[in-house]
Amino acid sequence: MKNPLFLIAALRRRPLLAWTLFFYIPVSLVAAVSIIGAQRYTQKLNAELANGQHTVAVAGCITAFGEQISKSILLIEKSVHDKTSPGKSVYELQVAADRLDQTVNAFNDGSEVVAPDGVRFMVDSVTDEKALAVLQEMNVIWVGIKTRADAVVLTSGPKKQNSEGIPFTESALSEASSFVASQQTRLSEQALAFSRRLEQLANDRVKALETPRTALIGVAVISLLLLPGAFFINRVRGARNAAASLAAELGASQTKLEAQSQALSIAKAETDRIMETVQEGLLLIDARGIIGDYHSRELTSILRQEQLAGRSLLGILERLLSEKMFRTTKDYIDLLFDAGRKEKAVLKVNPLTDIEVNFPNPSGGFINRYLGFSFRRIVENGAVSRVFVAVRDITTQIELEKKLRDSEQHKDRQLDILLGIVHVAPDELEAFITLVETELDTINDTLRAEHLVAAGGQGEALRERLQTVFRCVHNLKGNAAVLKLTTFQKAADLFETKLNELLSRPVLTGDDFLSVVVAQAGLRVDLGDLKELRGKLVGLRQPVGAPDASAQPASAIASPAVQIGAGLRQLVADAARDLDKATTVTIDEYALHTVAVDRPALVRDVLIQLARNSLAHSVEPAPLRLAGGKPAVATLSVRSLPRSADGLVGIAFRDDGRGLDLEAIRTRAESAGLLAPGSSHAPADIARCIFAPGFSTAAAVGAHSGRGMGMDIVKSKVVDEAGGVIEVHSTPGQFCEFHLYFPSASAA
Amino acid sequence: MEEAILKIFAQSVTRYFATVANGQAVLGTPYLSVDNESVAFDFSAVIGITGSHRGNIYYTAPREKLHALLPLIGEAAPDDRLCAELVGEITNTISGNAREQLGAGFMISTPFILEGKPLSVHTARDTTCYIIPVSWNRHSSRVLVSLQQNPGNP
Amino acid sequence: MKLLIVDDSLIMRRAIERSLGQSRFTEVHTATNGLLAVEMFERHQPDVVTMDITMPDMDGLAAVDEIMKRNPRAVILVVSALADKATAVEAVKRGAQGFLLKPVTAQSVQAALDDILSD
Repeated sequence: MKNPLFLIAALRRRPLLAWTLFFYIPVSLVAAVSIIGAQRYTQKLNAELANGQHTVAVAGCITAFGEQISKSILLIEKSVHDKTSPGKSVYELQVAADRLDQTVNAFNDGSEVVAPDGVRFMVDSVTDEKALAVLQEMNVIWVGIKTRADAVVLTSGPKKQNSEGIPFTESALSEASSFVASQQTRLSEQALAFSRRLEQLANDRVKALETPRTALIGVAVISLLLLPGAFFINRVRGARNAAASLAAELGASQTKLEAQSQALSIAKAETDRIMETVQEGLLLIDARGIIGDYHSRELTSILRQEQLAGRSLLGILERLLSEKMFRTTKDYIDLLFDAGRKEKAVLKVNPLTDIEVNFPNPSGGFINRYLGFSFRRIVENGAVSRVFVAVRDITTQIELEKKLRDSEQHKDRQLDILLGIVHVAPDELEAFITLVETELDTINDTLRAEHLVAAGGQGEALRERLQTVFRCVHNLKGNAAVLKLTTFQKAADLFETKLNELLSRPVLTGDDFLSVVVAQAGLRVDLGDLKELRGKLVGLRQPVGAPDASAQPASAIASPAVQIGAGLRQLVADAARDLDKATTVTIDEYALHTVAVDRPALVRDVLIQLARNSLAHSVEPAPLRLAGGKPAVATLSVRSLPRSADGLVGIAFRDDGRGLDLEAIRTRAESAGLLAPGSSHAPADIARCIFAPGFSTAAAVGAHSGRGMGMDIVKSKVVDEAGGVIEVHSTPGQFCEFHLYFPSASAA
Repeated sequence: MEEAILKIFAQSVTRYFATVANGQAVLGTPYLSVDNESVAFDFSAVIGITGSHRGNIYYTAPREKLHALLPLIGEAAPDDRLCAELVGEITNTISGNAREQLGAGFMISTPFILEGKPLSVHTARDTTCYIIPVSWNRHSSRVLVSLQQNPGNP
Repeated sequence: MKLLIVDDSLIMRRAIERSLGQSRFTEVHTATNGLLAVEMFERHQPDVVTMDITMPDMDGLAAVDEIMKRNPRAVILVVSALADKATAVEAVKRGAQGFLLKPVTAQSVQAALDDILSD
C-alpha cells in the first residue's frame, strides 16, 4: 500500500481469459488429482490397518499357545501321576506346539499364517532391529520349550510301531512341566514386548500414510472452495499479490547478500542432511583405519554401535568377523592405501562384498547379519589420503537369494526326475521304486549293525560292509540305466566313486563312512521326490494312456519275461551306442519265462549285469571284429538250457566277443592276492576269480563298467540268494557263455 | 555340507572321551534313523538348536556305560540322577564344542533329559536324522544329529 | 577365600568343587542359573566365580554383565562348551578374567583358577 498508483493500475487490468487458463483450470485439476490421491491413500491405509491388526493378533497368539502348552503338560503330568489316560491333552499339546512353531517361524522367515479370525495372510519376516532382538530371545526360549513339548508328545502319544514306548517317567515330566512353566512366563513377557513393538511399527506405517492423505484431503477441500470464492476475492487478492511482489523486490538485494554469506553453511547443512537420511553407512577412513569425523547416521545402526568417529574400523570388524576373514580384511585395507596398485584391480578383489557378521545380542546369544562393503580411494598429491567406504545391511537380500536358489535347485532336480519317468511304464516304475527301497534298506541295515563296532580290529568287517553297500549301489545303477533314470544313474555313479575311494584306503574307520551315510540320505531324498512325482504323474498319464490301453490290453499286463527282454534290449542299445560297439540281442522269451516266473527282479538284475559285463569286457569294437573275421555287429543271446540232473531250470547268456582273457585275469588276480603269484593254475580256478568282490580287468571306470562289482552281484544273486548254480564256458577269441541254473518252484 | 557337519560332531564326541575318560572312543558306521524305530538306551539328552541351523542333537547311553564313566570324573557312587546329569553334560559339551567350526550363530538350548527307552527321534519334516554309534571300553552309545541349515544362513 | 560355582549341570558343579581339593577356598557356594548367580554374588561376595554360559533363565554372559555392574572388580572364570572364538572374546570383553573350554579335567580347572588368581 506504499504506492496507491500502482494499486489502481493493477485493479484495472482483469483479463478473464488469463484467469480461466491460469487459475480455474489448474485449481480444478489440483482438486481432481488430490481427490484421486486421497482415495488411493485411503485404500492403502485400510490394507495396512488390516495387516497390522492381523500381525499383532498373531503375535498375541504366542502367549495363548504358550499357555496351552504349559497347561497341557501339567494335565499330562497329573494324568501320569493319577495313572489315568492323558486323553485329549496330548493332542492339544501337539496342536499348540505346532501352531506356535509355525507362528514363530513365520516371524523368522516370513510365511503364510492364519489369524485368530481365520483369515490367511502373509507375515513378513521381522526386519526391525528392536523387534528382531526380541524375536531372537523368543526363539531361544521357544526352542527350549519345544524340545520338551516334542518329547512329551512323543512319549505320551499313541505307541509307535517298533518302539517299546514305555511312558514318560514322572520325574522327567515334572522337570519338563516346571521348566515350561517358568519359560512360558518369559515367553509371554517377550511376546508382549514383541506385539507392542509390532503395534508401534504398524502405527508408524499408518501414520506415514495418514499425513499425506490428510494433506491431500486438505488440498482438495481448499481447491474446491477456491473455485467459487475466487470470483469474489479476486480483486482483493490481485492487489495483495502485487503489493507482496513489490515488497519482495525491495528486499531482494538484501536477501541476495544474506544468501551469499549463507551459501557455505547451507552446503554444510545439505551434507549433514544427506548424512542423516541416506540409507547406507557412509564413512571415510585414513591409512590407520580410523573413522573420520563425518559418517552417515545409518552407519551406527548397521554396525550397532554409537560414537564411531575417531575409532578404528578394523577394531570394530575384529569382533564381528571370523579370525581368518579379519586377517584378509586387514591385508585388503593395506592394499587400498597402497597407491602403487591399480585401484581397479584392488576394487575387483573386494573380499567384503557379502560378509557374515555376528553381533553379540545384548540379551544373550548372537545376531547374524550380512553386510556388503564397497570402497573408493581418495587420492591427494599422488598418495591415497583416505578411503571412502559404503556399507549396507544385505541380510534380507542374501536370505532371499538363498531361498530362491534352493527352491530352483529343488525344482530343477524334480524336473530331471519327471522328464526321466514320463517314458517309463507305471509297473516298471513301481518295480524300480521297490528296488531302490530294498537296496537302500539293505545299505542302512548293513551300516546299522553296531555289534561289530565294539570288537577291535574292525578293518576287515568294515571293508565287507563297503562291498555290500557297493553291490547295492551298483545294482541300483544298473536298473536306473535300463529305465534311463539319469538322476539316479548319476547319483549312484557318484556314490560308487566315493565307495571306490574308500575301498582303496589301507585302513578304514567308522567315521570314513560319514560320506556313505550322507550319500545314502541323498538317494533317499531322490527316492522321496520320485515317489511324490509318481503320484502327480498318475493324473498326467491317464488321458494320454487311455486309448492306447484299450487298443492293446496285453501291454498293460506284460509278463515279466517280456518286460525283462524289453529292458535288456534298451540297455544294450544305450550301452552299445555309448561304447561305440554295435550289438544286437536275441532273446528266447519262453526260456526267460521259465526262470523269471519265480524271481523276476533277481533274473532282471542278473541279466543287466551280464549284459553290461559283456559289452564292457568281451565285445570288441567293430574294426577288431572285422579283422578277426567276425560280423561287425556283435550278438548277445538268451536261450533255454535243458533241465539239469538235479532238476534245476536254466538259461544261457552268450556273447560272441573275445571271451575271457585268462592271462589278464590271472595277472589281476595275483596282484589282488586272489591267486598265489608265479605258480600254475587251472583255467577254472582263474575264471572263478571274476566273481570275487571288487574284481575288474577294465582299465578305466565308466558309466557301463569298470567298478568290477558286476559279476560279484551275479554270483551273490544266483548262488547265495536263489540257491542256484553258475557255469562259465568260454573259447578265447570266440565267445563267452554263462549258464544260470535255478531251483524251480513248479518242478518241486 | 552335511558330511562336514557330521564330522564335527564325530570329532567332538571323540574329544570328549579322550579328555574326560582318558580313553579312545571308536566310532561305528553311521546310519540313518528310519521308520521311527527306537534308538534310545537307558538315558538320553536332547538339545535344541536354533540360529544358523535348526534341529536337535541327542546323546543316548546305557546305564552300565554311564556307571563305568562316572567314577572317572570323580563320582564314586553312580546313581540314576548322576547318569541323567552326565548324558545332559555330554550333549551340552559336544553341541557347544561344535561352535568352534560352526560359529556363534549355532545357538544351543539347555539339555533336556529322558530316562527309559521311549525315545523315538523327533525330526522336522524333510530333515534326515543321522545316528553315529560311539563305542568306548566296549560300551555302546549313540549321537543323533538331526539338523537343517537355516535358509537365512548359507 | 570364597568361591561361587555357577552351572546348570550338577555333574559340572560337583566336578569343579572336587577339583579344588583341600585348597584355599574355605567357602563354596553354587547357583544353577544366571539370575540365582547374581543373587548369590550379592549375598556372599565371593572372591572368584566360575560361570557357565548356556543356562536357563539368564545366560552366563548376561550374568557376567550384571555382576560386573555390581562389582567391577569381580573375578570371573567362564567355563563353557561354546568353542567359538567370538564367545570367548565376548566373555572377556564383558569383564571375565578367563575362559575355560569344556570338557574340563580337575587339572585344567585348577590351572585356570591359579592363572586368574595369580594376576
